[in-house]
Amino acid sequence: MSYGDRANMEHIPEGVLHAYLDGQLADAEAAGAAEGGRERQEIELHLAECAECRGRLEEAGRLRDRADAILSASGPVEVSPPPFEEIVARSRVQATRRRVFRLNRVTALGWAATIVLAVGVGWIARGSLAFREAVAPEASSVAADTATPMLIQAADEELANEVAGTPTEDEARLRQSELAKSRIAAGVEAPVAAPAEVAAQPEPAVERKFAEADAREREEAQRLKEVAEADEPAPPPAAPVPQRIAVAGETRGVAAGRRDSIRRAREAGDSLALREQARAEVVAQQVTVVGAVAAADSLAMQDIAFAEATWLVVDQTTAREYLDGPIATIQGLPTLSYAVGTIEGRRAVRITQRLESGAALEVIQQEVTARPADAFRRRVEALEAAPAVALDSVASVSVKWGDYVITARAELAPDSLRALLARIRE
Amino acid sequence: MRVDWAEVYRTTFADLVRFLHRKVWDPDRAHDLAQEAFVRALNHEPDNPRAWLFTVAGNLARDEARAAIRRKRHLTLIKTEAAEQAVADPAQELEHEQRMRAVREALARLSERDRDVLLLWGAGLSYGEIAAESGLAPGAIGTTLARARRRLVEAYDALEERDVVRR
Repeated sequence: MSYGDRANMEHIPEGVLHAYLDGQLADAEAAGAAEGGRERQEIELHLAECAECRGRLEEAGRLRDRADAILSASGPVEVSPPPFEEIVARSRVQATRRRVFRLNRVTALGWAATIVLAVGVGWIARGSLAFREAVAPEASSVAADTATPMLIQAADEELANEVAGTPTEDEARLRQSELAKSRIAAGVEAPVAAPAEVAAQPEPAVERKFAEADAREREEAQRLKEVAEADEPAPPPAAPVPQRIAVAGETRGVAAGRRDSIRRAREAGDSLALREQARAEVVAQQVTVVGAVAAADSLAMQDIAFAEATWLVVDQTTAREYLDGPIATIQGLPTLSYAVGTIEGRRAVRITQRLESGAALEVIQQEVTARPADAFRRRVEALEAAPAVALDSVASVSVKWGDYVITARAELAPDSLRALLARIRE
Repeated sequence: MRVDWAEVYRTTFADLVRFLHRKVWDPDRAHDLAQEAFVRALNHEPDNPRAWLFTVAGNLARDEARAAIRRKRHLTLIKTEAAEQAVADPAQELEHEQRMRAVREALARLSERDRDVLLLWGAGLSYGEIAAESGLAPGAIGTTLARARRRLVEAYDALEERDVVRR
């Protein structure tokens, strides 16, 4: 551009005037500061000669000031950033969830398909179809409804005392290898880089560039959407991940859905309505048992309790110190992570282990004896009455273990979970 | 390149909140989304943190806006805005509310690209960073910004005129 060249006198384009006013010429030309400085000189030379461009510059300045004033009229927002450490802790929790999510996502389909082949059931799956969209919708629903018994018999506390052995070296190696895989998997999702810069174009090409930019924008939006979706803390319909926070939401959804299908079934005079009714009750009971409170009308409160359960990933020693006691793990399974947090205001440790199938098993250990709150005591009482429940394909079984309540969650039949809980060791 | 995230957080969080506030019009949600963007950034370790943060924040705000439409949250938002100004003089409060609504409506009349470029500049990003965020050529930022500014002013003036006529 040769605004300063009298022989080739072009007026300064409006975009360049704005870049000049904004002090962004170097950036605008995507060149070094020297280039920007040269353009600045050319512009100033031209402005000295050209009254019309001086007028346009003034007008651009007024427009800019006016737009800034309008934007600032939208109110200065008082910003109160939380401590950076909090953000770091949250990012660790999210990273762990994603690792668990990926582990499970890979195996979810396989599991569902296997169970469908083995059992093969039709009607009862319909109730849960509405809640499953992404991964093998029909398969996982059928699995959910057929693979898990309605209610499991009381878990024998003595089972929990049948402890054995210490982790072998093989187990330690397995764990290392899993962690390495997780890190590689984490890398797969990483490349959400900023869009590449495009070289500067002369003004006439700008409109064409806009069309190209639109296409890029759409691609980028789609890509980011996918990433954002993958980032979600385990959308229950896509993969049944054993996570407390996600399960609370799912539970409510499933319960509501079941009621709806019961209503539909009744309207249709379907003879299977009773079975659905039974399921709805199981789900409701699951809410009671796994959650903090016995009263059904405290559902919302319980959801809040779950939502506030933030887990911080720590090492085993820290977890032990945190609970001031032994840490329960299922013998023979590699441990992926330990996390500490609170549930219902009580200290808890979450141990994520890897099942042979590759799916994740979540073991949540909560203290019982210290200052038992009413809600928690009710939960313990409920546990003693009906210590195991199932929620779709993610089953949850709780037992008392010394001074702790141990809850195991995984995409397994509750019987299998009980068998696993029998292998609890310190 | 090793990113000093604590420093990025210190220098960018407020800009990100302001940027998000002009998209979701709810200070609490703006804070939440800004935090979420940082949480994700820490896990992704992008090369260009600021541009990445604004990209993700913009994306989160878009999702939020869609969800808000579904939930018909606008009524709640208007209430929130009113509640924030509760201590002010009622006449001032009304004026502030009208102004906020006019800015919001004027921004809504811009194309998404123009609005984004304008808000990113307003949040303190350089032309280079805006180009990285928007995918536009760096040379096109000035032109886009000029157009966005003009359209904002025109839309705002038209709205003000309409309100004056109404009053």
